[in-house]
Amino acid sequence: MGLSAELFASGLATGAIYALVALALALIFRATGHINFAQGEMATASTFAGWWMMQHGAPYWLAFGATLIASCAAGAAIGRLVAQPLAQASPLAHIATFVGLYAVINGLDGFLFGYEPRAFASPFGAGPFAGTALSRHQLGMIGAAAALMVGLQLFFRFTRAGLLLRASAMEPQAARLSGVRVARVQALGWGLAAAIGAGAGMLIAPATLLDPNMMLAPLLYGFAGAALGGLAQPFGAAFGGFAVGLLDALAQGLLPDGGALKAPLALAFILAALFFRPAGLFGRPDAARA
Amino acid sequence: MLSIKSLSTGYGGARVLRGLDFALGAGECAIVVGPNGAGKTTLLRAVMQLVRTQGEIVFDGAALRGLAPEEIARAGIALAPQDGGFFPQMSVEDNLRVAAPRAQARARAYAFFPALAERRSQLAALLSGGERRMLVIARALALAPRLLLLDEASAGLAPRLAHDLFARIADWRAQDGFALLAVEQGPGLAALAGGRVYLMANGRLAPLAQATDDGALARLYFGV
Repeated sequence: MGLSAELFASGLATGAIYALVALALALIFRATGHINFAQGEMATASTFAGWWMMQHGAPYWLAFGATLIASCAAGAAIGRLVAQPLAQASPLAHIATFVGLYAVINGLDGFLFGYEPRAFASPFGAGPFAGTALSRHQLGMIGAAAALMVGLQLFFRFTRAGLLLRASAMEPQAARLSGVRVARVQALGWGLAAAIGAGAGMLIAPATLLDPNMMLAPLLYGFAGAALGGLAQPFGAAFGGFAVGLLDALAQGLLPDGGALKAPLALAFILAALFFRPAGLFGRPDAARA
Repeated sequence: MLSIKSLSTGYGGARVLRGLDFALGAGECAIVVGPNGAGKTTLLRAVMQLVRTQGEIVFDGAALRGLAPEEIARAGIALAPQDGGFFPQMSVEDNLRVAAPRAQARARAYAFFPALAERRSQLAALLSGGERRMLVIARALALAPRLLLLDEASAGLAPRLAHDLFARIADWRAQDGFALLAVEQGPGLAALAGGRVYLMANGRLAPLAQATDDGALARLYFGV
């Protein structure tokens, strides 16, 4: 396998990590119109919960399912108790709150579990997949991200819950006047995003090791990917995540001292995406009658 | 059906409605007219609990004060606001789907407003002013309400279009028998709706003798 194929495989695997984070960010943005800067920390806390269950004898898939359900409930509660009261607040108040939430959850994770990186089991097994440059775990991550990418797009397009999530984020008052229980719908959005984040965390941890700061880089690159592809479009956000992963691998492999260029590259993508296409590659600007 | 007693509300320190009394029976129609800032829209917003209120608002025996707007909508009251009230970045079809999950209810809305049927896959933001007004009203009526609150439906529309809009609402009422409380700048369309006409002044309602009580309106609008 040549250099380019190896880089491609590595980039695709890294991109899957970013895509999973981007999907969670896109879901909460589509459902509430806000960016949850604490998304990564919520995912980390969920992953620690899954790890704790496995340490106490739970099989992987039982821990995985229980973590997703608990995270969904916790996410819905955070939506109701933290985000809902901010419905009329300024964007600055939202940013301050979510950054505060980030700090609180990060501190709690460190306090409860310490900062020592821990190994985390992969549900897909170890070793390369059928003689390719991809490991079985990397292939599993890519598959999960791709399936979620398509699934979420279909969810928003074809299900009533997806329709009500879009309506509640777009015009909450019009939704209320249509009999939509906006608070419940948005709590559902928070719960789903938290569950996706939890799944993402449990898939990312075997690749990065589990520690309270494990989602810092994935959140930054995932956000870059979501901005590049379109925050309001789950498909675009995930596509952007994969694209950033591939470019990240290319930068690391082909440029001199590429590792040092990873973060500037991601930030350059955020800026370029916002400058040239504010709604992202797959997003569309708000339509208006001329 | 709807009974309002001693209703007061306002914005900040300014009181807009001052001890307003009003009653509307099942299937009845009432038009409230008055100048800008008289409190007509505020009355409808108060019924939907979009503003804090004092006094009593009862719909079919149930007190509405303190209920969330979505619960009031589910109880059978639909508001078609003058501004907003639709989802601009969604198609016409999806706008109606939010209020009416059943295709049958949406088909009915299209039957009353054929112009919307032609635009069902178009983004609502790209509709004309008149089409948007139709969409907001169709969205409200798709809820199958027992009381429709209509906020200045004719504002900004050509007289013929406004006349057509009220005629379609009247057709729908003739079939469904819902009550209608509409607010308008003038009473010109009230005769078409066939209801009682009230004048909003000083935060209260006073009945006008006829839908075209020009003398009272001239005094109100021009001070003569």
